This record gives sequence, structure tokens and C-alpha cells, in this order.
Amino acid sequence: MRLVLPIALPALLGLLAWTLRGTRTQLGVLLAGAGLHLALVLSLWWFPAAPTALLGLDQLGKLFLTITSVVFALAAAATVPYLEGHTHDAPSRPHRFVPALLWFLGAMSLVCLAQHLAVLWAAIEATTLATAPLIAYYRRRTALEATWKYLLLCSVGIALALLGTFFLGIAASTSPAGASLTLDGLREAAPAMARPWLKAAFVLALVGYGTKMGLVPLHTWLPDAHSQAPSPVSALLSGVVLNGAFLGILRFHEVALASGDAEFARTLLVLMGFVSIVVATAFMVRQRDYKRLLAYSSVENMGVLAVGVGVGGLAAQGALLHAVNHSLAKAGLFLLAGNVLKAFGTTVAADVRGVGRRLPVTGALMLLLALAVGGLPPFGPFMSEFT
Amino acid sequence: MTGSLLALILDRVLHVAVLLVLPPLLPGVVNRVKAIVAGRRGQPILQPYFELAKLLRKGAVYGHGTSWVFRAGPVAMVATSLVAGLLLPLGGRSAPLSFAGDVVAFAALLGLGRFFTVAAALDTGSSFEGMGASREASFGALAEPVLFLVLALLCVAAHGAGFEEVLEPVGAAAAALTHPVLLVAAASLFIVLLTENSRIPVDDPNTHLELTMIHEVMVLDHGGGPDLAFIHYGAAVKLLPLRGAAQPPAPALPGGRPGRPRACWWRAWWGRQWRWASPSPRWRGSACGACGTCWSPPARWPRWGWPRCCSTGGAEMSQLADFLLLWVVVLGLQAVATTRITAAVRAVALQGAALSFLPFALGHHLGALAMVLTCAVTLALKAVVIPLLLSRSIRAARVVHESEPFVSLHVSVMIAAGLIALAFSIGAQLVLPWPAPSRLVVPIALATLLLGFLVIVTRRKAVTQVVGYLMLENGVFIFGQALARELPFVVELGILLDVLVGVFVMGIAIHHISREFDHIDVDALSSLRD
Repeated sequence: MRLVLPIALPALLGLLAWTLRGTRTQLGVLLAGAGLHLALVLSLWWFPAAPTALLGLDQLGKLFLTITSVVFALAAAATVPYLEGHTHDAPSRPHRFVPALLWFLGAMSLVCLAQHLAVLWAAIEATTLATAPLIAYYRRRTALEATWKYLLLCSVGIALALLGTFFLGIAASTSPAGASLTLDGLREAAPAMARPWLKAAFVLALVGYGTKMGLVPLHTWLPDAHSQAPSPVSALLSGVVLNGAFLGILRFHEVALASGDAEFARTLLVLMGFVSIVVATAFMVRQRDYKRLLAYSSVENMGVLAVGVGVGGLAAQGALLHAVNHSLAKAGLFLLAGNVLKAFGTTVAADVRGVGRRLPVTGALMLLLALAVGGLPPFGPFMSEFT
Repeated sequence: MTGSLLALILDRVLHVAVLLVLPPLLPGVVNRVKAIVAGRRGQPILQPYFELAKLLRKGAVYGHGTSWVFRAGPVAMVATSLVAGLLLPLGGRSAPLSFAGDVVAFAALLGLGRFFTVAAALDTGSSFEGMGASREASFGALAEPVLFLVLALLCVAAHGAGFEEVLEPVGAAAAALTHPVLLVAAASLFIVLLTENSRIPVDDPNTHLELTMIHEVMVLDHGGGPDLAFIHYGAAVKLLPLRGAAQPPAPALPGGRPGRPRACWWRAWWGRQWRWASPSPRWRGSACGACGTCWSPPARWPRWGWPRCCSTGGAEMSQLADFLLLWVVVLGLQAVATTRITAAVRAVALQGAALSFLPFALGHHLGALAMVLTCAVTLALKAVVIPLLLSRSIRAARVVHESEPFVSLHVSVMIAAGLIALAFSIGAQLVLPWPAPSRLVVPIALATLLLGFLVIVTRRKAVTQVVGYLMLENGVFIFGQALARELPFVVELGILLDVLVGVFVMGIAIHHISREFDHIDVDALSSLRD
């Protein structure tokens, strides 16, 4: 029962925020929601809750849920100046922002808590739908273009992932354990699954959730969406949403591992990961817009995650550590980029000069985090990438 | 011996005589019936004969730029139609010319006739004729493969390769194919016949207006005289064999009795004239209902709407599932083949409606209440709410037509046909682990998926991309139905709701895009690139 709370609470608070109009009250609801969610998640660490039929918190889910909660709290805190109107662009529907954020939090919690693959799918689709209006917040032409690409590409990708889910169910029905789409049932049925259906399911899930995660060549929506969204939303997209898609792929990978026939899965993951790293780096070099640069860096880091999981063993643990590090560092970078944008009014890197003097704290932190994301010691990402 | 030889010669002579003399009677009857239906008295039934006689008496005028091709066109048309008529058995007798594979020769002869007509039209160098020729060629490119496929289907059903076997009413051979497939084949053949004979709605045989018509444009420059006589005669002759070819589906349907009593044939023939003459091709009246050889499906359909399946009881459900799935893929093709966005939305809505009855047809053993609830909710969401949302977006964005898709309509229809074939070949590899009530589930699910992708990728308007997304989801939904036992109702509802909210959010995005950009061409949404 307690597991429903991290989902239901943000959803209800979002509903409440929908009915309110005043900016201050909405912000209050948002910050309260973020704080309560964080408290709930931390309590789940010390006092675990019993799993139900469709919901359950295993170790993987707990890790991602914590990341979600922390990054959301940071982003919520950074939303304050945005809603107060101190931004360089005029928003058009400020009172839709907070409800969408809260519903996003609820959907994301469902992603981490889902034990049934179809529920996982529905939750990931819900995160797509909740973040779409957030990207289009400023209603600029470029923002609308980014939103449309995001909506269509991610929905089509996720539809393919749903097909993969169904294929996995069909594969499971060939085994004596019977067809079931819950993770436990699938893990049980895995060794006896019909291989063609299992492989097809994994490929579809990789392509489908890989679209949402930002693996090349399905990443084309990512630079646009992450750079056109307001900075707190970019932080959430890079730090949380990509992790959610990664979790989806991980669930399928678990089933493939349990079947004992995971070679093809590992090869595919490593391949796509490497291609992502190479292509993203190539694009990063020619970037002139610093937010797009950060977005491509997210693509690259997702590639690192895929390679880590593909190699397996210690590398898989390193990949999970990297997920944590990357989320925190990237979210921080995007929020600081928001500060820079507010101060300078442009996202073109060449026009931004003298950050060290105008915003010394921002500048210093950005430098540190950039080094961190680049993988330099003694920061966390160095350790995780090294592993 | 001599007696049977004499009978054979007499038979052949009679066949050739009927073939030569009868054709102009058909347009005469057609025109008379049209006139009567329109409330006029109409021309005499024998009027075409009088016209042919008048034209043959006139002289001919040939342009200076034309060559022998122009003069050969009408002659070739008559010649090929007559030889094609010789291949076709008429009146339950055997044809004068018959050999294995004569169905292919039949189609080839018609194609040859079309080639010469088109060549003659191009020979004049006139732009009107050229336009008509290109239209005729493109319609032919679509109609001929269909004709071939339907004839091949009938040959497979009859286990033979000639008209002899195909037109024999063999009940046992017909049972080898499912009923709905024959329905679709017959419908396709009907449309091909309308195209080949330049009937409404493809062409208007009574006018020679250049800018709207196909066949009549090409004959514009064959001014009066024997050439025009040949053309009219050739068109009438073509009408006869093709109408004869329309008979096969009738005896192949279950319930067709072998053999055709001659009196009945005559009555049935007049009944078919009536149907062909009616201005609306959808009007089906059957003058003769006695023997089962007339093509009159509505008389067979029970009042609750789906066709009576063959008498083996357990196969009824699989017939229903087959019927629904075939309907789904035909609607998918319609959505690909139309430029009118509202028509595409309607096609997808009907697809959703068909799919909502699929759980019932696939025989899932949920409780009765759960079954009704699932079907009702799916129907409400897929066939009512989502199309309503899309219609609102369309009206707000003020678009009606898909202007210039990235791939032209003809090509996208052909690609769609190719994708359906691909889906069937992949479906042969991916066999469901349990015996499904219908063999068509996996291939048609894949086909709908691929068609959805095609629409998303080749269309320019954002709304049509949403239609493509819905088709994609329908395809995935069919797969989900195969798993219905393992999907709790709540989860299925969740998936449906997600799609609904997805369409809602997409509609809002389209609304904003149309307000900001004044159009919804996704082609123009390309300013963000590296």
C-alpha cells in the first residue's frame, strides 16, 4: 500500500495545482510535493514496503527512484525564478507548468515501481506525455518543432517497445511456467522461452526504449528537446527521463540474462553504445549552442551506460554508478546553464563571455561539473567510467 | 462420331457468332436502363447497331502527323478483344480456344489492346490525348496486377490453370478458401471491371470531355468514320468477356449448385444486365434468385450484419475473425490511398471499431461481463473519442487535403501492397505457439504496423502523422489481443487511456503549431538541425 504513495501523492497534488491559479500557491504545492516525495523515498530505504501484484521496489527501482526524487527536488527549487517571470522569454501558460511537473513525477515513480511490463510501458508513455507540454512552454517556433519531434518519435518508439512487450509475453507462453508479463514470472519462464520470439522482443524493446533513451540513430529528438525546453525541464529530461528508458531496457536485459542466451543482447547493447559515443562526440565538437552541447553529452553518456551494461559484470555496476553521477552532474549543469541564459539572454556559446566575472559562483560550479561530466578525476564519473 | 463433330462445329460457330453479333447489344441495354431509371424513355435497344452502321459509311480524316500506329489502334483493340472473347467459355459451354494457362493469355490480350490504344493516342501528338493516355496507363498499371492476382487466386482455388477449370462450379475446390477472401477477391474484380470498361465512377462513357475522363479522351482524335466504329465495337466486345470473367466467384461461393440450367442462365443474364446498367454500381438487384449462380451477396447476409459462414459450426468464429482482420487491412490500404484527411481518420476509426470485436472473434474465454466491457470500452475509445479529438484538430487547423505527400499516391499504394506482402512472408516465420482461431492474426498485425509506419514517414501534414501513429497502435493492439488472457483488464485499459491522452496531447501540439506557423506541414519544421 505504501508503494502507491510515491505515485498517487504527486498525481493528486498535480490535480490540486491544476485548480489553483496563484503562482505562489502553485510553487508552494510544487515544493511541498517534491519534499514529501523525497521523504517518502528515503523512508522506503529504511522501512521497505511489501510488493503488490503490479508494484514492487527492487534494488534497481530503488536506485532510480532515489535519483528521480533528488533531481526533481533540485529542479523544483530552480523552478522558482521561472514561474516568477524572471526569464528571458515570455511563457504563455504558467499555471500549466506545475501540474505537468507533478504528474511527471508521479509517472516517473510508477516507472521505477512497476513490476509488470505493460504497466512499465504505460508509465513511460505517461512521462512522454507529461513532459511534452513542458518542452513547449515558451511556444517559440523552435520549441514547438522540438515538441512535435519529441512527441512523434518517442510515441512511435514506445509503440514498438509495446510490441516487444507483447512478443515477450508470447515467448513466455511457450514455456511451462506460463505466460505472464510480471518480472518474476518472466524471469521464471525465461530459460524455456522460444528463442525467435525472445530475440525479436529484445530487439524491439531496445529500438523502442532506445529511442526514448537517446541511443544513436534514434536520438534525433534529443538535442532539440533538451535545448529548447526551459532549464529545469532540461535537467529533468536529461537526468530522469533518460534513466527511465534505461530502466525499461534493463528489465528486458534481465529477462534475456535469465534465459541464459544473452549473447545477442549484450552484443547489441555494446554496439549501439559505442555508436552513440562516437556519433555524439563527433556532433559535440561542432556545437555552438551550449545547451545542445550538453544534450549531446547526455547522448554520449547514455552510450557509456549501454556499453557498461552490455559488457556485464563489474562494468554493469559501474554503469549504474555512472547513471547516478551523470544524472546529478548533468542536472546541475543544465540548471547552471539556465542561470547563464537568464543573465546573458542567448544560448550561443560564443556570445557568452565573462561568466567568471558576472556570475562567479555559477561559473566555478559549471567548470567543476563540466570537468566531472568529462570524466576527469577526482569526480564520480571518472570512477564509474573507469569501472 | 460425325454427329458429335457436327455438334462441336456448330457449338464453335455459335460461340463465334454470339461473340461477333451480341456485343453492341450490351451498351444498348445499359443505356436504355439508365434512361428509364432517370425517368426518360431512352434510345432503342438496338441503337448501337444503327450507330455502327452509320459510322462505317462515313469517310475518315487522318492528321498529317500520325503514322500507321494511329490507324492500327482501333483495329488492334477489336482484334484483341475478339480473341480474348474466344478464350472465354460462354453460356456454360467450353471455349473455342482453350489451353493450360489461358487465363494469362486472356489478361495479356487485354493488356495488348490497351497498349495499342495508348500508342495510337500518343501518336497524335495532341496534349489532350497524351493526358488521357498517361491516365489510362497508370490505371492499367494498378488494374492489371489485380486482375492477374484474382485470376491466380481462382486458379489456385480450382486447382487448374485454365478457364475450363476455373469457371466450373466446383464446390469442393471453393471450400479450400475461406469465404471472406473470396468476397475481397470478387470486390477487387468488380472494381477492375469498372476501370477496364470505363464505367462510372472511374470514367463516364457517355461524354468525351477531355479534362475529367480517361478512356474517352484517347479516342477524341479518331474523328468519325470506321475508326470510331471499331473503337465503339471493340469497347463493347471487351465488355462481354470481362463480364463473363465476373462469373467465377458466384459458383465458387458455398451454396452454389453445380451445373446451370439454360433457362436460368438466360434469366440470370438479364438480371446481370440490370445490375450493370444501374447508375450506382452499389445497387444490387437480383432478377433471378433461384439458382445460386447469381452474384447476390446481400441476399445471403443474416440481419445482424456479418456474412453467413460455411456450415461447419466451429469455423464460424474463425470466419468472423478472418473477416474482421481482412476488413482491418483493407481500411489500412484506404487510409494510405487517400489524400482527404477526414477519409483517413474515418478509416482508422472503422479499423478501431473492427478491432474492438476481435476479442470476441478470437474466442477468448473471459467472463461475459468482462468481454462486453472490454469490447465496449475499446469501441468507445478507438472508434468514437479518438476520431472526435482528431476531427477537432483538423477543424482547428483548417486542413482538408494532404497536399503533395513526399511519395506520390500511386507509389505509396504500391509500396503499401509490397509491405503487406512482406508482412505475410514474415508472418509465415513468426508462428504463434498456440493454434490461433485465425491464421491471419500475425500477418495482418504486422501489415497494419508497417502501413502505419508508411503513413507517418510519407505524409506531410502533422495530423496525418497522428493517423499513422493510430494505425501503428492498432497493429500492436492486434498482437495484444493474442495475449488477452495474460493482460489484466486494468492494464489494457491503461494502454488504451495512454493512447487517448497521447492523441489529445498531439492534438494540442498541432493546435499550437498551426497557430504559430499558420500551417501544419512537418516539412517546414526543420530549422533545428546540425
